[in-house]
Amino acid sequence: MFGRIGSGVVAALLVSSLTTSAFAQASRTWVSGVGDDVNPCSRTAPCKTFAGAISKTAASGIINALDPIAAGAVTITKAITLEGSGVSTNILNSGTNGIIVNAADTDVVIVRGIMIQGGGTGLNGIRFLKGKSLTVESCTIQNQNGAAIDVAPSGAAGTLFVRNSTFVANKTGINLAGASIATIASSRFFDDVLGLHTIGTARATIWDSVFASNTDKGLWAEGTSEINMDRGLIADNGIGVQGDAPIRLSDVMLGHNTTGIAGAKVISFGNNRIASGNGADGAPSGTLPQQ
Amino acid sequence: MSFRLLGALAGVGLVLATAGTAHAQALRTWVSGVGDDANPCSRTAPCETFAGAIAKTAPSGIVNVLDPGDFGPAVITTSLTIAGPPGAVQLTANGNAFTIAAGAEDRVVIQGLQLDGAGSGSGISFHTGRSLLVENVTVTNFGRAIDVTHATGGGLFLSDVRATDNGIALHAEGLAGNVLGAITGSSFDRNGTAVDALGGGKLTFIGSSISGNGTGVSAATASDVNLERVELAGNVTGIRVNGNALVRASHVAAVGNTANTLTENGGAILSFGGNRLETLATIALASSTLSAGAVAGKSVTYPVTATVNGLLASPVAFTCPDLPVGAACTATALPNGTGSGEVTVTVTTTGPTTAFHASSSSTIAFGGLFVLPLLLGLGRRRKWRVEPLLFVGLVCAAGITACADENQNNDPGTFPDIRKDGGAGNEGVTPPGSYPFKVVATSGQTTASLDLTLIVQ
Repeated sequence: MFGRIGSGVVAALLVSSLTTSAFAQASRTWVSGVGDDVNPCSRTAPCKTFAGAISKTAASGIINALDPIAAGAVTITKAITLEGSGVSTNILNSGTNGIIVNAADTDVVIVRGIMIQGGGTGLNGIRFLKGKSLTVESCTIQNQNGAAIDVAPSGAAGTLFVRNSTFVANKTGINLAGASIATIASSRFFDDVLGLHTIGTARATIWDSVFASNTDKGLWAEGTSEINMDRGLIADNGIGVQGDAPIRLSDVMLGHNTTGIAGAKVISFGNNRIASGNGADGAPSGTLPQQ
Repeated sequence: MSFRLLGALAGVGLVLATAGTAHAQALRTWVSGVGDDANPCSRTAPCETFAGAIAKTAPSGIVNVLDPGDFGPAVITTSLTIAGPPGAVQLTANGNAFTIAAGAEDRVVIQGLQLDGAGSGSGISFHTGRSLLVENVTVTNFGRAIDVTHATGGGLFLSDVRATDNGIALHAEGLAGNVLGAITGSSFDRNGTAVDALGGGKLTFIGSSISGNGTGVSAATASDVNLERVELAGNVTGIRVNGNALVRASHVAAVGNTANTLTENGGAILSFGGNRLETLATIALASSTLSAGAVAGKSVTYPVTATVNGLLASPVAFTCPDLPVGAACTATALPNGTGSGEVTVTVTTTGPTTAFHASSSSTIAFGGLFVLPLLLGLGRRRKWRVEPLLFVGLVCAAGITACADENQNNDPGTFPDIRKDGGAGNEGVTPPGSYPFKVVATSGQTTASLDLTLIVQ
């Protein structure tokens, strides 16, 4: 008697709990290559795409990739983490943007361990319009007709943090416009047309990174933007560094570029290796002492 | 129209769509250890081999590895990305694992694989194509781990590549054009030769380890290699530069190598400074001509071979600090200032201002021809006249070999100065005698000297 009533209660509770899960947003959701977006995106009933999972994920929550997955393009409008590490996580974005971040000025967005593949027709790998900050970590973004990461702030500019990421075969690796601010660490820009391009009043700081075989330019600062680069390699590019706006270089090797340094606003801290086999080395237009 | 008819039409549509998918190329395909190449290579119906999946992948597409397995060798002929997941994905090959023979604008990316060879062939062989990026890949036990023998020249980027126990870890050569390579965060350890750069190979290593190899970096035939923050440890030869090749070193730690550097046949290493070696660079000097002589006012030459071991931060300068009065020396430069090679040390002496001194060595026979008319023309007079000089010119023109020899010696003392003051003339003259002296080579804190003898007749 008691057992029968007990199981009845448990069953009722289970049903009620399932119903709740299906509609409430969880702070952690899951996507899988064999998931389904009608699922609640739980560990045992995962969704199939980031777009399907994001509506079931609470603000400041995290979407995890469970197994190798083509997780699809997604637009982010709230604080969220897309976690693709540990498995092969892809976004294929032919003809469109891979990830659009258009969140509130207080929202923190993190994208980690994801390959974004434009297939030669992708617009931008990640387009960062609005948000407090965007962190891109351990990602490979390639074959985009626009930029791997395009920061075009509308209103107040967010901050971009990039770490341990690879940008290959894009028109531009990272494009920073408006008043955007970026910190780029331990990343690689290879065989893009432009490696890093700043314009407007954008500010970029690069540490421990490599810009190689970018056909037009490795670094290019325009307008009243600024780039600071510390410790790294700029090699095999058409023009290594084009400083139409200030670019400050410290502890950088510039080698095997067709032209090493161009533009009138390249500042050296005096500790760069410039005579490293460039077609024409070029010269910094000014120096700053180390203090 | 009934629902039944609609259903039948929908069914036909589905079959058609499926048939279309099975034959079309997709931008993303999948391989799995339990796949089948008869499948469409989709996420749920993956293929079994890279070769099978590549055939079903559109240009600029990506072949994803679904789970651990061995997916066999493949030839890549278009823009393509092969992406392994974190974890054990193996590719075992008897010959080449990947052969890249792609179009002029094609870009190939290979990520996240472990390539195991059988002692021959290449892990990745890059012959044609615009660029190759290899990232997070281990290549073991091939003849050449990564062989870039490029037909026209292309771009190469290696990031987090571990190439161990191969004959050659990286061979870079442009048959017609440059192979422009950047290598970062990689380890080339325990190979016969880690880096083998030949003509057209222009490589830059940054933040990488090249250790425990027979030869760490071998640069030959006008190749050009930059090393920035590279650990070169425990190689038999750390850096070997041959045949007009050039290596630039910055913040390199070269320790525990049997020979840190070997430069030969015009190869040179330039140092930006900041390099760490356990011993100061050395210069060894030798000459086949330890003693040479001439009459005062003539010059003598000594071919001196300098063998540099280690990294010199500034060009080697040669001086001869203890020559006798009136004598001074000059030397030609080593290849790029710091490479091992032969220089010609020329010692000039000062003779009496008005006496003519015949040349020594090879021109001695012609010297007789000069002296006779000179003596006839001059007699005991102290002043020069024009006629004998013209005669000397004629004789010289006839004896081109002799003049050429003199020119090679770059010897301003072949003909005496014409002095109008008729002064006493013996101040500063190198007196006859045998003078042991040292030629000293100096670069930074490194110095070396060689004992030579100057005989003034």
